[in-house]
Parts: sequence; C-alpha cells; structure tokens
Amino acid sequence: MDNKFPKKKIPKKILKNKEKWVFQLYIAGGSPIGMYTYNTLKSICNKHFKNYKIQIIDLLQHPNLAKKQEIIAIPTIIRISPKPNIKIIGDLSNPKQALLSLKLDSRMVDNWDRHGEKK
Amino acid sequence: MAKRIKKTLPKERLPAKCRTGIPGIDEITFGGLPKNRATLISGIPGSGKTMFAMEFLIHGIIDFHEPGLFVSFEESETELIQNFVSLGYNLNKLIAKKQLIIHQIHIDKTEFQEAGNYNLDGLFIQLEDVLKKNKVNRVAFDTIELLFTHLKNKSHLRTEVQRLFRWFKRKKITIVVTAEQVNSTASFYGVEEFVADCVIILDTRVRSQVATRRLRIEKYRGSPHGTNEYPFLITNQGLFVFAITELKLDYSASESIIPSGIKQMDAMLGKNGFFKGSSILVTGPAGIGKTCIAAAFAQKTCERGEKCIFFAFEESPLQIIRNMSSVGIDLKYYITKGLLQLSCINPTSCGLELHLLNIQRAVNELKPSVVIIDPISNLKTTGLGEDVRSMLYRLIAFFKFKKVTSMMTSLVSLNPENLEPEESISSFMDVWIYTQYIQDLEKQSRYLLIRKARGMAHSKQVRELLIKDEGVELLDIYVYGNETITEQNKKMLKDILHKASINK
Repeated sequence: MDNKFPKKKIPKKILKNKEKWVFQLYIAGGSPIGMYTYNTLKSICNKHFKNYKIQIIDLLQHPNLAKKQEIIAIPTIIRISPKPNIKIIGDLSNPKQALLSLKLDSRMVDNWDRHGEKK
Repeated sequence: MAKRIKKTLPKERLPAKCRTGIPGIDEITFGGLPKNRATLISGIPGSGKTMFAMEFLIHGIIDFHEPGLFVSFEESETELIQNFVSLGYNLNKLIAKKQLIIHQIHIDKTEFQEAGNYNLDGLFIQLEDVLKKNKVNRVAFDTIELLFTHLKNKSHLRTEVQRLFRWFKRKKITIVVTAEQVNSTASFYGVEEFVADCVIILDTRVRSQVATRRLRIEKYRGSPHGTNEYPFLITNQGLFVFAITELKLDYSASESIIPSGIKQMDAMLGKNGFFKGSSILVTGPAGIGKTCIAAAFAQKTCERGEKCIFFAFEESPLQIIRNMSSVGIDLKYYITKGLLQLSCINPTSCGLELHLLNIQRAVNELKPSVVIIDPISNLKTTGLGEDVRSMLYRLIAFFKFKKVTSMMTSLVSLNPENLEPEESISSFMDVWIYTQYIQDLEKQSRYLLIRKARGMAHSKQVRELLIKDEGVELLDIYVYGNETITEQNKKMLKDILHKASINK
C-alpha cells in the first residue's frame, strides 16, 4: 500500500544499471572495524552492482587527505561515482540504514529485503 | 612509648599555570589557566567566547612566544581574520610567521549519513597532521559542541571527545574550549563534566539600558581563584578584565605633600597640602565653584612642572578654558606646554566600565601626578548607584596603586540635609571638602569646610569661599552677634561701624 511505485520497473532499472560504482573507504590503520566495514560494503556491492570498485585509503599514510576530504569520523565511505558524491560515516553495521545512506533508493531496500527472503 | 609520627606535609604547590597575558585574567586566576590541561569558556551567544579563545593564543604568541592552534568548527579562516582585524589584530601576520594556525573542521550533518558505529579518528588524524608540521603549545577549540549537534550518537561522542582531550594532555598542550551556556549549566552537552579543570563563565547583562560584560571563574581544580564577578570589556585593543578589586590594600602611603593651589586651603589642611597619592572629594551645589577649586589644583600642579589630566564630564575643553581664564586660571598655557591634558567625555557615551578603562589608559599613557574628575555625579546617568560606587572604588584603588593624587568633584543638592549619596562615596576618600551656600534675606555667600582629612590635623573652621578675577580665595568668617560677617557684607559692616562712631 505504502509503496506507490510500480514494483517491476524501477528496481530492475537500478539493478541492471551498468554504470560503474566507485566507493572510497577511509580507514585508520589496519583496525578490525575497517576490515568489517570493507566486508560489509563488498557484500552489499556484490548483491547490487555488477560493476563496482572499492578503494581503501589509509589516512595514517595519507593524513593530508583527512583535511582535504573533511573526514572526522572513521570509517567514512564516499561514493565517488555515480555523482553526486555521498558521504557515509559508520561501519555499516545496520545494512538497511547503510543502503539508505548510500542513496540507492528506498525501493531498492525493499527489493533487497525480498531478495533476501527468497533466497 | 608512642611513636612519634613525623608528619611530612607535601610542599604546598599550586598546579603549573599557563599565563594568558590577557589583562586581568592572570590576576584573578593567580597566575593563569591550568597548564597542559583544559579550560572551558562558557557563555551566552555574543559574550566573547571566541574572542577569549583567540586572545589566549595571540597573547601566547606575542607575550610568551608559544605558538597556537585555533581549531574552528564554526568560522572559516578568512572570516576569523576579518573579525579580528576590527579588534586590532593582524592575524595574517601571525599566520604567515607560522605562529598561529587556524584549522577549520568542516562538519555539516546534511552532507553525510550515519550508518553504524564510528570513532573520531579522522579528527585525530587531521590534528595530528597539523601538530606534526608545527610546534604548538596552545590550542583553542571553538566550539567543540558543534560535533554534538551534527552527530547522533551522543554517549559515544562524549567518550571520543574525552579521548581527544586526554590525547592533548599527554602532548603537554594547554587547551581552551568554548561552549554555549544554556540556562544555568555551563554547556548544553555537559562538556564541562569531562573537559574542565577550570570553568570560566562569560555573561552580558543589560541594566538600565547599559550592557555590562562580566566574567566569573566557576571552578578551578587545585587552585584558589577570585570568586567575584569581574566586569570586562571588549575594546579595540582586545579583551580587558577589571581585576582591580583584587588589588590588596597595601599601597604605600606617601609622606610628601602637594599643595592644593589655594593658599588658605593649604593652611587649613595642617600639613600645607594634600598627601601625595590621596583622594580628594569636593562636594557642593551647582555654581559654587567646584570646577574652580579643581582647576586651581591643576594649575598649581602644572606650575611645578608635573603632569595633570582633567576629565570633564560636563563642559567642552574650550568652555572650561574660557571659564577658568575669567577667574585668573590660565589652563591653555599648560595645555600647550603638554603638562595638562583636558579630556572631555560625554558621560552617556559609554558604560561605566569603558569610562573606567579610558581613564586607566590615559593615566597609564601620560603618567600624571594629579587626576581631576569633574564631576563624578554625572556618572550616575550611566549606571546605578551601586555600580557607580564600585566603579569609583576601583578607580580610587587604581589611582592609589599608581600613586596618583586624585580630586573628584560631586554635585549635591542645595539642601544641606540631603547628603546620603555623597556620604557613601566619601567613606573611601581621604579628604572631603564640603561647600555650601549661606543665604540671608539680602545676599548669598559661599562657604567651605574640610569635613575630613585623613592623617592630618585639619582646621574645623568654616571659611568663606571667594571666587575672584585673580583666583580662588578663602576668608575667615567673623561672627557679629548672631550674624556671620562675610566679605560681601563687610562693606555694610563698615557702614554700620561708621554710623555707630558718628553717633558716639
């Protein structure tokens, strides 16, 4: 009822999007929280994007990037592509929230949930 | 035998202090802010928190050669530079010399999403990067609470901010943190709970249309401090706190005497003048010649080649010069010689604190031996009685500390009974010269009396005050029957005596 959009069309459009998805993951050293976030992000990407790329940036090695990208919190994910850039802070421990944050559209979250049920 | 336990008390030592260099702050904190620790500056919007934080750094650079880092969560570097130019600071110069670093932390909750847990390592890395490149002894955060407004997980943030300050402490850096005051708590998110080794509250209050800024030290771990509220000013030369009430009453008492400029008055005073560094109050109704007495004193001072500042709250300089020349006091000559400074101030132009500061500055610059304020009663238009009283008290303490002899005139009503306001001031004045009119059916004459002169056996006699073309004079008053014989009716007396002799 509350889903006003036709279910068939739009999710498919997004899923079949062949656009390249690029994420930057900013971490500080080899902390477990960084690895955890990377794995979560990767599993989300595997599920939803055919063509994606995750760049891991260790701020301890590139401290000047912290100022440049205005990074306060660790971990921070920046969606570089598609534009516009979107910044997400946190370890993505809440996947629903994570997807919302990645601005993949709320419809897609539904789809993802259903997808999970089906499997 | 009971063992004698030797009590070895640890040597009383105050925690190490970091001098701020802000005038007044070091006095009321007995040496400065806690070194290598954090101080919270809390206040309502516009109370001067950013100013305090920046001044702490600037004074650190200029006075103590300690480079500073200003971490701004609100304003950008260019904004800060612009703001402080108007306060007389050229931040560009300090930044170019790498003594001052302004680091803006941009944070805006509309620009990011939160998903899960995080820590503030990004902030740490940013700051670490700055600290690595520059040697820094002082850091100011303005205002760290912005983190709390933009990030959701408050309890987690709190531990993170706490970690940040511990990290700075380990690096032996003195921190100043600003926070918005909400209701009666020092900060909205309770930063004071974990940050503060010292809490300073800034406040602005408006009473009878005059705004006064006040500062108070709420807490200072392990150190005594002044507990009063201290007025402070933000001037074109920065922050200025009036810590003068902290001055102890231990100024030296001079034995040397300076003449009053009126011969007969010197005779009345027992020691041929006032003690140097004393405070003199001249009270009287309108038109009696208070300004003349003050001007005579100024003239005498300048005659000896000493400097004098004449603060006039009523008349313009030219008016004073003209009026005084009519009674034979040539002020213009001494002004051109540079011995006399005539400062005419509109009493309503600013608040009491600014008047106080202006007077103090002028005294510090010219180093006069005599200061005249004519009249202090006009200050009442600027403040309430109690405020004026405390301001004058601080002013007199300042003059005594500087060994400046001060003469203040005050207007009283014609009714001699109505003395109340002057009595309150006169209690902390050393000399009180009281003038009043005597009115008979046919004439009015002025008389003068020394009500009090600390430390000297002064005359208790009432004298007649004469203002002549050649100057101010005092005459003895004779009593003939029930009538006082004054200068004006001496002529009459002569006539009477003449008639009487003829009748004989």
